[in-house]
Amino acid sequence: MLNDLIDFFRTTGFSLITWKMLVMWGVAGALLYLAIAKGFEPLLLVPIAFGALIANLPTRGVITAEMKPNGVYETAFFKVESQVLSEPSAGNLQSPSTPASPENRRTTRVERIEGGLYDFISQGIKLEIFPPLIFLGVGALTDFGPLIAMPRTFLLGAAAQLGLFVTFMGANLLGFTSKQSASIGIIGGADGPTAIFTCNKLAPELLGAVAVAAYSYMSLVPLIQPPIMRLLTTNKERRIRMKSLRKVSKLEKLIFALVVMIICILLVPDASALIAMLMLGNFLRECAVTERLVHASQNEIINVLTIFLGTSVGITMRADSFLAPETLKIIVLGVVAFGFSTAGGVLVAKVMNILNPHNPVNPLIGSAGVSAVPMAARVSQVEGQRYDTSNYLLMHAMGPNVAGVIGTAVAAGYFISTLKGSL
Amino acid sequence: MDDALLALPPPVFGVLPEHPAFFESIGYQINGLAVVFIALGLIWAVMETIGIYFKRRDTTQRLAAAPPDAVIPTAESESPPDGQPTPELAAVIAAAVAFTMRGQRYRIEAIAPATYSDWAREGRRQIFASHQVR
Repeated sequence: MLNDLIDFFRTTGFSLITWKMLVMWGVAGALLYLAIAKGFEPLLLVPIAFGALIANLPTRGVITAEMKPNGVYETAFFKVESQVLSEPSAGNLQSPSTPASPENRRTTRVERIEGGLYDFISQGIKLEIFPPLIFLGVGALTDFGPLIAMPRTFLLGAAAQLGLFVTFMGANLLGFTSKQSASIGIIGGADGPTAIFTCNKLAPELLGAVAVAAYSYMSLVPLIQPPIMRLLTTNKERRIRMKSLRKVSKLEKLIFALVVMIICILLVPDASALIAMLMLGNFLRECAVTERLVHASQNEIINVLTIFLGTSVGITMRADSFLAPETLKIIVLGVVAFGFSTAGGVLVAKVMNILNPHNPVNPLIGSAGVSAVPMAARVSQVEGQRYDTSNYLLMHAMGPNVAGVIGTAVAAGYFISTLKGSL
Repeated sequence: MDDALLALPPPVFGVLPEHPAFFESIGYQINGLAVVFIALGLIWAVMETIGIYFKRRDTTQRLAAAPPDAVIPTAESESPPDGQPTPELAAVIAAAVAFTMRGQRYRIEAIAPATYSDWAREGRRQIFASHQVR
């Protein structure tokens, strides 16, 4: 009887627990605490933390993971059992790089596909489906009116991408490869779906750490940005009042969606999926005749995908791959990226005021150029009110804020197009 | 893209090795920032141009909607049109606002007659204030 009990114990998960798993339970617990008790990006941190917890339990039928010979953990793959119906003739076999001719194609009948739940759900990230679809929802939720009313704030959105490129160099100096550096740098854009999209294309082995850093810092925007904003601005600059924004017509908003999509896709085709979905969502919203579709994009689609995206990211945080010195470096580089992006926006706003002193912008809205919508714009508003209680910067800050979303997608397109073929 | 183009040095097309040299990396970053500025700058230019048309159209529509025989009050007019405060009343309101907002920056943008009775509201406020909230 005792032997039976011991045998049974061997089939349970207790014997598979390692100290690294326990550490990861602590990490998941910390993320859950930040999300639930502190309210930091709970919609994303809760699924991510939960996914991390699942990844570090001895589960069966949830996800398949395997250590590759190069030391990289590969997750979310499944086995396909198939029967070969016709063999290619030996004389027609070609190298894998050459396209297969009809006679050397192999026909198989798929009999069984074996994999865990997240082997299939995580394909949404692997196949780059989730981030663009989330952008559809983001587009449906975003009002580009403030940006269209004051298009010069596009420059602030562009300037706030400074952190991406500075961090790229920092990461490179710390020993990361170019592809990994780009994936880490994109954290500075403060745009989760774009960070995941880029990282999955260039350095999927860093996905867990990059996503956690991106979403954690997005939630910490109210703590990271204000000291940098205060450091780079004078009291007088913080009190600058900006002219009221003009009302933007529906037609103008529709034209905007098309113009942005066409220009961005022409310039960086690798960002097409993100930009096209963002602008499709926005076009649906602004055309005002597709209410049901807008409602679905703003609610059901984005909510369901957020759950799947968050847990799929969390489930990549297996102890063996996450508890590495690289993770710590990524966390540090993430702050650097955020800091430089904030500084870039504020400094370019100051330059704009020197060039056009008759119609100044409050430099505090420059920091909103990092995407984190609408958190970064709210930070500009709160900081502005600290120095002038009757100065309302929120709508002005929304301009660079949504410009930052477009800027980050363009930067991601640049990274992908220039690095995907590099060594 | 043509292989010959990709073979050009990194500062032009940004193709980087796995571990680029310092200056190679800087050139790559400058290119990247330039691409972002060009993309967003181009959209800015297009939207600014389109905005000029829409601003003009709005102005034209506003002017067309204005009544042609609107009475423009002059400084000499003794009785202002209906709904407009007399100069004396405007002065009293300005003084009251200045007193209330003392120490703060403010700007009076409009003076409009109240459409409700503040006496009734004050009465309600006093009644509610007299109850003890448990």
